[in-house]
Amino acid sequence: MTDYDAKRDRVLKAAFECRAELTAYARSLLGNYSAAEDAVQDAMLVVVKKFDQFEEGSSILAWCRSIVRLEVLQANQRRQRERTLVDRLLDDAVHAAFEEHQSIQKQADAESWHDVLKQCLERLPERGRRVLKARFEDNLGYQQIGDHVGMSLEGVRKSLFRLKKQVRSCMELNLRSAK
Amino acid sequence: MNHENDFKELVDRHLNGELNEIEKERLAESLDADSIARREFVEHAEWDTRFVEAMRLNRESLLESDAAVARSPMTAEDREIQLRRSTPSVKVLMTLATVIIVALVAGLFFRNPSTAPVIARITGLNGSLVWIGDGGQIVNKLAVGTELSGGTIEGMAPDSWVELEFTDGSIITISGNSMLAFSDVGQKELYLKEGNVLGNVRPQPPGKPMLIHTRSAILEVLGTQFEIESGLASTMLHVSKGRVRVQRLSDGNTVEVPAQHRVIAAADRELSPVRIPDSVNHWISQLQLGPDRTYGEWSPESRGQSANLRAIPYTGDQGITIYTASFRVSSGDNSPVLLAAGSRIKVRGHIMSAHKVYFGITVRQPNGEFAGRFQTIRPADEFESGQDFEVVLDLNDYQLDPSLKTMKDKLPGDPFDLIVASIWCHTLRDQAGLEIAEVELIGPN
Repeated sequence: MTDYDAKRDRVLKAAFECRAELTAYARSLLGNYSAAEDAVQDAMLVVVKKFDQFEEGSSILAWCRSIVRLEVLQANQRRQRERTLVDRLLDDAVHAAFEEHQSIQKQADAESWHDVLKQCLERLPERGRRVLKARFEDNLGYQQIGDHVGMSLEGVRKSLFRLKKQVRSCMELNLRSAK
Repeated sequence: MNHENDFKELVDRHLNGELNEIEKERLAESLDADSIARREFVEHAEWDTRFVEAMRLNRESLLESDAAVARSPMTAEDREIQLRRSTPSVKVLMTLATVIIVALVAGLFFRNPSTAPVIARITGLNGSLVWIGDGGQIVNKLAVGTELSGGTIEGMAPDSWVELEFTDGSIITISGNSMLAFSDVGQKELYLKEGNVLGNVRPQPPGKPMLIHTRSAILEVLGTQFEIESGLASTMLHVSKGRVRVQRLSDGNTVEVPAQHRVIAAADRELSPVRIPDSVNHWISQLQLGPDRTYGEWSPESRGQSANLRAIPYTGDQGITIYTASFRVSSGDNSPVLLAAGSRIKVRGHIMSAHKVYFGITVRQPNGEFAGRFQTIRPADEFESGQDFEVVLDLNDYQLDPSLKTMKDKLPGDPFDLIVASIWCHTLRDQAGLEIAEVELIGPN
């Protein structure tokens, strides 16, 4: 294997391992999970083309994030979304937050994370599970969920927030005690 | 609600794009002012995104342990939700497409030749194309006869097209700058990220229709001829034969589209099939309305200058650069434009340096099949550097594009009685500053 090939392998592998972090970053800029996935997908294709520009020893996450940010800008242009001054200020604040606090998560615990998620979801009340299922598995909107389970639109939104909070607390507790 | 909860809820709503301007300003101020808020923001964004991904990626529900739900009487809404659940949403497919592409890219590390089963073969192609297949290969040297496993194929230029024949004889063609992910694991699933797909689909196994996912709709195809044009916010479906069931993602409404009908699936349009209008023989570009359905650098009308479309460079597989501008003709809401014998094309524009100019059309059969590209060339001495020009082109002078000579026997000898897909013009190798202000197809009368 040539040095060129070896570098390509290292860079692409490292970039691939950042995918979850990059999706979170893109979503924080776009406010939309699916659009974030698209931006990260496009960014990965840029990484494939430009891997030789990455300076080894520097942060792969920061480098990939800069590529994602360009893809996000282009996505906004394609969607012809007019960015207000507040939007741009918030983008800068979000970017600064990620620059300061984001690091690559260890992937080794993915399986246990998933198992704990399932356990915590099972502890939710039946109605709560129906709301989560309708939202994330069936992709229903707040109004449709509200019609389905007999809640107001705002009630659905707040319920989703509380349910996720409950799941997250449960998971943090379980993952901590597992360690 | 306490301050901490208030902040977390603000972050949560931001991740879903639900904040108004005042709330965005408040979030930006919180982030600017406080490092702990910044850390919480990042942690919340990462946890929530991982949660959403886990919920969407799991085809086997994380929430299906509830026997109580199964035992309870099923309402109409329950049945609707179950129906939706049986058909993977486009967002799940988007996730899968991302994972497929990224995983395939990641597959570069392993370099093993693909052992995935062949599900389709290329039966025709043109222009620049890239295939990202199982095993991570990124292949841009495709040829007729190339066998493909599942993957993603992308047309890289306006003149790109590729025809794929699945093992059951179903034929799918993408054209122009289109991107299609496809798989066949007992059921054909296609994800059209953008662009155009033509299908001539053999009857599919009972209960396993071909599923085509776009950003705005899911289409179930049992066996039929159709054309799909997928944009950012809408999907246009034309059905030539058979029926196609369309589910609009924005509200879950479905409709069946019969033969010779079309429908637009978009959040802001009525989901109602209408009969495909009769073809017309006349068409005129309307650049003053914007750059939709064009390829080139669009400039609006200004200081007495008409809106125009400037030719932009495109380098093909042979390393030859052309400077091209093009207009899609029979697409979207428009009536199909049929090229009748005796038709002419009038082109108005401007050229910075006198140069030989190629004028062409891409045509297709009324059932949507690619029918070739035809062109005529006007010599440099018909143009004057730095001047406007107007040419009227006789369609009898148009010849089959020489790059299609290997397909000559499969294609019609002239473009008449065919549907005009696009009209284009270009200069070869040199940037001549070609700008098009208006193109008009003039019928025989």
